[in-house]
Amino acid sequence: MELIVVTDNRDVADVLATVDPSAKTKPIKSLGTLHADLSGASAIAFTVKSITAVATLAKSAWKTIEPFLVSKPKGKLVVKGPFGEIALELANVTEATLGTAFTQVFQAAEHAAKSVKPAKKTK
Amino acid sequence: MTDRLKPLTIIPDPEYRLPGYQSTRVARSLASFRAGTGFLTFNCNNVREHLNVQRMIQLFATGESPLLVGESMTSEDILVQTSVSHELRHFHDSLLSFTFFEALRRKLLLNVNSVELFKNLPRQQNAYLPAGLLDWIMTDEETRIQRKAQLEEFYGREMKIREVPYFSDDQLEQQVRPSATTDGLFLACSRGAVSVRTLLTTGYTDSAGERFTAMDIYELSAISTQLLSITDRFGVHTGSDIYWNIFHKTYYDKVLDVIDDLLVHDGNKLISGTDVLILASAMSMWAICAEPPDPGPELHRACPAIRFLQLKVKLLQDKPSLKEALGNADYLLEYFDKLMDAKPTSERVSASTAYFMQWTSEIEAQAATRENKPLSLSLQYWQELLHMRDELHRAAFGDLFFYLRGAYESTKVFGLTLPPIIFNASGYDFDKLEDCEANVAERAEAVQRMWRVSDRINGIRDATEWVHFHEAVFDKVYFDNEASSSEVHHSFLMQAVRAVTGSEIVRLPV
Repeated sequence: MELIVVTDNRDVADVLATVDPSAKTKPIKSLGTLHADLSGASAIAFTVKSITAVATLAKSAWKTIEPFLVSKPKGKLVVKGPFGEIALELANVTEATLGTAFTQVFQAAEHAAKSVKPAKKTK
Repeated sequence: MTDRLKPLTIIPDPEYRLPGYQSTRVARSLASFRAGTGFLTFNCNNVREHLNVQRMIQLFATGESPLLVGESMTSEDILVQTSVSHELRHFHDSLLSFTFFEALRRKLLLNVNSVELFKNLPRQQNAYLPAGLLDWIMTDEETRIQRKAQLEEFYGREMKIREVPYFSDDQLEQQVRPSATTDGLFLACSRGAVSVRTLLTTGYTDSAGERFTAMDIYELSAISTQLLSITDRFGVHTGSDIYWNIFHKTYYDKVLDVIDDLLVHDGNKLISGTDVLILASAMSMWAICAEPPDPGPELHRACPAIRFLQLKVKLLQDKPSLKEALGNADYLLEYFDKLMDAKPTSERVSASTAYFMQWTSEIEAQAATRENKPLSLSLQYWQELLHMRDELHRAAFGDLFFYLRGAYESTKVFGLTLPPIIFNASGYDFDKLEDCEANVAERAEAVQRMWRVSDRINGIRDATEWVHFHEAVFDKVYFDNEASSSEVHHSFLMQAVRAVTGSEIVRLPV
């Protein structure tokens, strides 16, 4: 199965392409987008052989991009899998959010929906 | 209307430097334009970005925005502000265009028909609907079996895929009216989806193997006018800094490269500076403003990319005259019309408007005879778009010099109806907000909030909401395009797809 990561941050795109031997840069137009202004982004496709390999790939991706996230860069990181896509703000990406996004796009929507809990009241 | 417009301030001094200007790096998407609705989205991650966008919108709405230019502006401030102009140019191009407007019309109709289709389509428990459905509909049975087997192997369990008909290219291209059955409605929807994709992706491949499509022409138009308005408002130095430090070697620079061979003649630089951008803007506008193709099914004849190429080929044979014509931007479109032996540009826009009006009358007659809420809401929005098209046509052609310079989207646009505008605040960390207890739908709404600045758009609130929601759902279903901007929005969209189609959705291996 294919997992695609799209980002409009060029530095992050460059390092993502080195995460895994299966990584391939894809022309953004091949994603079939019919909307303007997405063409400035880069897409990197990974081949995932089993569902258990998804978490491993997420860990490798985190290790590779972590040094670039220290400065809280602006931009988006969109993770696309069989069950849709999740957009993350690069400045807010953590190992946990990246891992969750990688996992959720391989899970049916009903599971993803259940995981979105309302924030708790703190007062 | 043009009498009310204030004169645009173009900084005439090429040595002018914006006081306190700070050059910063910006390498991210600031905004987007949705071809299926005409809505604009701005990604605002902090208060400063919000203010920059809001102040531009204030300018467009009222003609005044005293805090728009402050001290110590950065390239990011300028880009955030002019991203509003950039997106608005996409909207204006979509209004004046034949293909973009036709795609919008067909997309609205596709949404209406698809609601009806999924109401009638037998529900299959626990069966997944393949995304994008359009590709799946065109996939033969043998390939479907293989792809389903790959999916099941990956997940290690049986996965039911919802049964949908297969349509061959011939069936999709034929003009024979589909039967009045669910399969017939499926065929009509599939044809609609194919035509939308064709309208937006038709183009040509150049000798270097680069594909150039209708979408690239819209981008060329928006980027050239955005760079012009940066130069006009903030000076040549600022424009040059932003071009070299932000746009150079990006996709946006690449779309500008398409006119490179027009700029040199006999080894000498023929056209340079802002004339390059004015040429790009004028050529895009000429290509975008097509009349309806005759015969109707030959949509490629109105394709902006193909029309652009045809114009470029002629201009390559007429470079000295082109240089002369650039001396008078008002005259450029007329020069192109004569060169191409075409109807005047404004008349081509009028011819397309007549085509759209004719269709609207027929649909209005249908809507009057039956109760169909989706049709009536979509029609309301479409009628507003037609009004906006007419309004812009008069304003833009009344002041072509400024329109070609991108000045309408800088300082002269006020008085024109603005489309719905979405603020995407997914960059804010909502989890850190206290007292935030909300369900998925409420949180999704907080992340993406729609503004209806113009009274006319505010007056059709239900129609804009309906169009927004269903376009997102069916864009995902047919084309596997997801408009989600955050985790919470993704969940909301998946719930919406399930509610409308009755299925979870899955992308099968390619």
